[in-house]
Formats: sequence, C-alpha cells, structure tokens
Amino acid sequence: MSNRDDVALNFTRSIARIGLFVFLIISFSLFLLWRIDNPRAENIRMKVIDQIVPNMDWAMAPVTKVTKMFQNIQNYERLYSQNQELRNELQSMRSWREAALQLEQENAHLLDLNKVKLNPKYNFISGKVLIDSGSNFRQSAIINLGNNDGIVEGWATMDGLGLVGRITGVGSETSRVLFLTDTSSNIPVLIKPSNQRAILSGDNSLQPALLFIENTQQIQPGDRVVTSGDGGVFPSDLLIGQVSLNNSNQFQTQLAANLYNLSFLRVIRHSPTAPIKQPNRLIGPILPKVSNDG
Amino acid sequence: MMAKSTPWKITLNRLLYFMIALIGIFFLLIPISIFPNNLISPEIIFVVTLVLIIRNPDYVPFWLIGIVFLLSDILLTQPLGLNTFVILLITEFLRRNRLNFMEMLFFSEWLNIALLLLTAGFMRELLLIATLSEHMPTLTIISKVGLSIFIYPILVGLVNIIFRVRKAHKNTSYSLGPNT
Repeated sequence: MSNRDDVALNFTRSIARIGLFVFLIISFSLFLLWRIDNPRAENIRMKVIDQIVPNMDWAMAPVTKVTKMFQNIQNYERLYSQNQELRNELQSMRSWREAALQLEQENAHLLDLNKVKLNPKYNFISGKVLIDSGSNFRQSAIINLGNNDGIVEGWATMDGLGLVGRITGVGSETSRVLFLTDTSSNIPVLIKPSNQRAILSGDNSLQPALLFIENTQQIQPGDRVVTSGDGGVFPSDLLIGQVSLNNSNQFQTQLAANLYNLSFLRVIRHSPTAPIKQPNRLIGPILPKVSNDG
Repeated sequence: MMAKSTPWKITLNRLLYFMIALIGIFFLLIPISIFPNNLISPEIIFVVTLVLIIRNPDYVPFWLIGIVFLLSDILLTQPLGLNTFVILLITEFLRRNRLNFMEMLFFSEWLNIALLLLTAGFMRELLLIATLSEHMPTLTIISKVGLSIFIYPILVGLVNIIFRVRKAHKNTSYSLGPNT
C-alpha cells in the first residue's frame, strides 16, 4: 500500500471516530433531555411522529386488514359456543331492557315533576387509531386527530361504550392517547351504587387497580365504576367498567371499553367548569372592586 | 480469500439493512391489538446488527446504526436516545474486537454475543435506575435477552442467506477500515 493511501485511510478513520463521538453525545443528551425536560422531549417525539405516521397509512392498512382477517377466521372456529353464549346473554338482556324501559318512563315522569336542568350533552369527535405505540414503558396509541381538529391535551377519549384514556400529546395532525392501563394513569372515580370514591390506577394489566377506596365493605364485585369529575380533568359520569376482585382479594376494574379491538375512538370535547375559589363567588355576579382607602 | 466488496454492493446492502430495520419497526407499530402487551419480543434488529458487524462491518456503519435506533426509539415510545446510546457503544466495542470474534468457533461466538446482549440489557437498566426513571422489571429484561440469545443462530443463518455474507478470513482487508 502506498503512503498516500495510508494517509487517506487514517483521515477517514479519524473523521469516523469524530462522527461516532458526536452520535454518542447526541443520543446521550437526548436521553438526558427526555429525563430532565420530559414534556419538551415528548413534543419533539410528537413532531417526528406527526411527520412520519400519516404517510405510513397506505402501507399499514393492508397488513392490518390481513391480520384482522386471520383473527376472524379463528373466531369462526368458536362460532358455535359464541352463538350459545349470545343467546343466553340476549335472554338476560331482554329482561334488562324491560327494566330499563320501566325506569326510563319513571325517570321521564320524575324529571317532568322536577324540571331539572340537564347538563348540555358533551359532544365528541371521532378519530381513527393509526398506530399502537404501546411498549413496556407506555400504553398508548396515536390517533389521526390533532391541533387542526381542535384537540386539546387532557380531553377524555372513549370507544363506543367506556372510557379508554386521555390525550397526552398533540401534534398538528396526530395526537397520542394514554390508556387507563398505563402505569402513569391515575384517575378519580366513583363506584356507583354506594358512591364510594377511589383512584383508578393503571398497572400495565387489562384490569387497572382501584386504590384508596373509602370503605371497602360497601362495594362488591359487579358495581359500576364511573369518572367522578374531581379535579376537573374529566367530565363526570363517564362509564369506565365494573368492579372485580383479583386472586389476592384486591379490587380491580373490568374495563367496559374493548381494548382488544380498538379502531375508532371518540374524543370528548369538554371545557371544565370554572372552579369556585373564593366564597363570595358562590352566589351572584362578580362584584365590582371597591378601593379600601375611603 | 474473499474478494473485496465493491462500493456499489456495500451501498445496496446498507439499503437492504435499512429496509429490514424499517420493516421490523413497522411490524411492531401495526395496530393489530391494542391491549397492554407484556409480550416479550426479542431485539431482532439489534441481533441482526451484531451478526452483520462480525460478518461484514462495511454494511453497518455507525451512522446507519445510529439513525435506525434513534428512529425506533422515537416511534416505539421508548426513552429517547437511550437505546441508541447503549447499542452504539456495544456495536463499537464489537467492531473493535471483531478480529477475535472471527477466529472463534460458532459456539464461543454465540457465548460472547450472549454476554454482550446481557451487558446491553443491564446497561440500559442501570442508566434508567441511575436517572431515577421508570424501568422494566428485571425478569422481563432477562427473558427478553434470553429470547434474543436463543434466536441468534437462526438470525445468523438468515443473514448469511439474505446478505450473502460469511465469516471472512482474518486476512481480508476492508475498503474503509474497521471504524467506518
């Protein structure tokens, strides 16, 4: 090998060494940024995802379809037993329907007597789940709604039936939904017939735990769990699921939302009511300020 | 003795590596089921990278590894940059010691790779603990690493077929030197 070649080789090597060093520093400082200023790092992540994910849709759709088809085929095998189950369920549903109709009539009657002012219905925006970026660190998904659709961080998301989670990051066209099952999700809830308050805390399992229940004697498996609206993050009375007991006699929640098969989500538009902070704001309009000099 | 790879072939294989990594990330992202998966998946891309470094380091330069793993960190909602940092360190270590690895019989190569994978797993864990952030349970890490070790021979076979590489003889020189 000639001398000149040697020099060139050394040169490329040292350039490479510097490049590697730069890469190491960049990745390590990204990690530190992620740890120190998490919201900003997540913002960066959202920006990148916002650029990439909507463009991947064309590739994702067929693959998802095919896997769904395979799952459907597996479902056919269980068709008979499912049919029986459904029949039984339908039977019990009929009796429930009867009960519901009677209650509805009763309710209408009582409301008429009472002239109660109902909450304005929360309206919602529907979005499609683009990717499931759930890892062992975060249970979350990306949906195709973002700033452009008026999504605001903190809004509740539901599937048709129950609460799924809340919005935790908003890009211009996508946003991230953090599921109830994530370990960093803690939500104030109300357990229904007995009106016990508790905290629904995600633990990476399908049945999030119910913590800090006021009086465990008063609740039973099967009780309904709804959001309590405390703290003003979520609207109250959104269905979450049912209470159940696990093997070690701790209370958990069976989610009403079907997390196995989530393709569309509803984001509940909700503007929190202004909190009452001062006693003189309880009744009447805001009083004009009077100076204390005279 | 093996012939030197032409620049054209190197570029093509780098592209191939990048595509395989993208497909790997893509499959982890598809919304097949969104229930909390405590599913333990082996680190296929990482293992493929290790295999390639021993076979032909020209195909996986550090910047390509950096880009691939930074992308996977971002898209898979993992701690930003952590995986990239650890894997760059490990792959660089392997790159500098690849002459030793080339002389080994397959079994001892496997054993050493297993040690490297274990080191990577615990390095990540230690960094997370040191910065007081949320970390995975030790059992998950061990089973993840175990699975990666288990599939190593399978991936070696696949990589040999797809990239048409083989453990080169020690005397083969590489056009861009061992550090590129």
